[in-house]
Amino acid sequence: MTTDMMTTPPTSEQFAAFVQKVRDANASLRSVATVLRGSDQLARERLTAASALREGIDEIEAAGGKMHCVREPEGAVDNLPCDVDAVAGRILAEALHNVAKHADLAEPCVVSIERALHRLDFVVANRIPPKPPSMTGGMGLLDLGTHAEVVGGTATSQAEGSNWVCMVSLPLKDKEEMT
Amino acid sequence: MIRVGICDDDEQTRDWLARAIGTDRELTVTRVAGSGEAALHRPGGVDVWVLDIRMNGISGIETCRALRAQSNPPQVLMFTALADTEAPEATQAGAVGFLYKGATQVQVCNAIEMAASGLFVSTQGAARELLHSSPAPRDPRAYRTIVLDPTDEVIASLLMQGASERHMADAARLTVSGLKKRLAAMRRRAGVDSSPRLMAALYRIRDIQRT
Repeated sequence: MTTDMMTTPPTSEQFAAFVQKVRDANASLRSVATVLRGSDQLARERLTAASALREGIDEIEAAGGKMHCVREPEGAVDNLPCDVDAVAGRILAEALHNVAKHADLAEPCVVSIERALHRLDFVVANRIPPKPPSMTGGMGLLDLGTHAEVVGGTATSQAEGSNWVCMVSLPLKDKEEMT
Repeated sequence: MIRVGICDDDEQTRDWLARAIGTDRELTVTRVAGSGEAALHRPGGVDVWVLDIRMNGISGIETCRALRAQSNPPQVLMFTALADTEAPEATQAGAVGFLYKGATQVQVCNAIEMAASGLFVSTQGAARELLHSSPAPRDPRAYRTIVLDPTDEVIASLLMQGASERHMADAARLTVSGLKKRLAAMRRRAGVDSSPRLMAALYRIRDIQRT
């Protein structure tokens, strides 16, 4: 909560935004807990990389943006191991939501996903607008690295010149290796 | 007779330029293209290209770079609505000058004739930007290690814009198999083993100016 919100009563919009953040945080915690419990069924009922990608692109296009999406191979995010699917889904959802919210949508945004035998790599990149909006302290991008670490991966999200680049690598392990 | 190519994704602008150039007996329009891809598809037979900077698909600056990489390169004039600030990158890409939308027919024809002679054409604003600009790449040595030649340059720019392999292969005039070999070599030089990682490396060392 910001200082302003502590000294003056929040508006209904501020309150609604705060409640939504709490709900998002809870959903995020449930997702991580689900992965840690190893409950495939529960995780599959929630966010997957494929659904996050689809919904994220829809959100960006609804906001007036254009997304170039490259998958190598075409089904790169289909049938991922459950834990990686949940984490990739959470990260993609957050990264693409931030593109819709903060990017210069006059320029195309890019997501490139490559699935190799033992690793899933993806990058989400967008042009930073000439006057970037102020960050409002959402949990979002700062947590990406933490999400990736749950499955032994890495995620960085930072400005590179006039672009914002989110780079993620998640290891793909066989079920036998994980147990 | 100076052969002129027009490349702009706005039909009205193309028509206006063609009419303006048609008023000068020393100039003849030999190519009209609605995109950078179309200009690069069959780029010969032109002494001076007039290129829009901001186009869908390949930008004017990338098109300029690819045109200037040919063995017998044409001169390139950038045609822009504003963008004095784009002068440094356009010049680095090989542009010989700038024409501003709003220029008169006489100014357009004079600028093309000057460009054909190899003279630099510029407004005061663009000249100021050029004077005060610093070299673009944040780490030129690292970038040149990965991107060795103009073909790599076209591939790198399109890769960073999320282009498909087919699109990159066509723009770089390679087969898809040839493109894959190029990408593999670029990944090797960058010390990475996937396209997303190559993209992240390219973003890190080169602040692409998509136009």
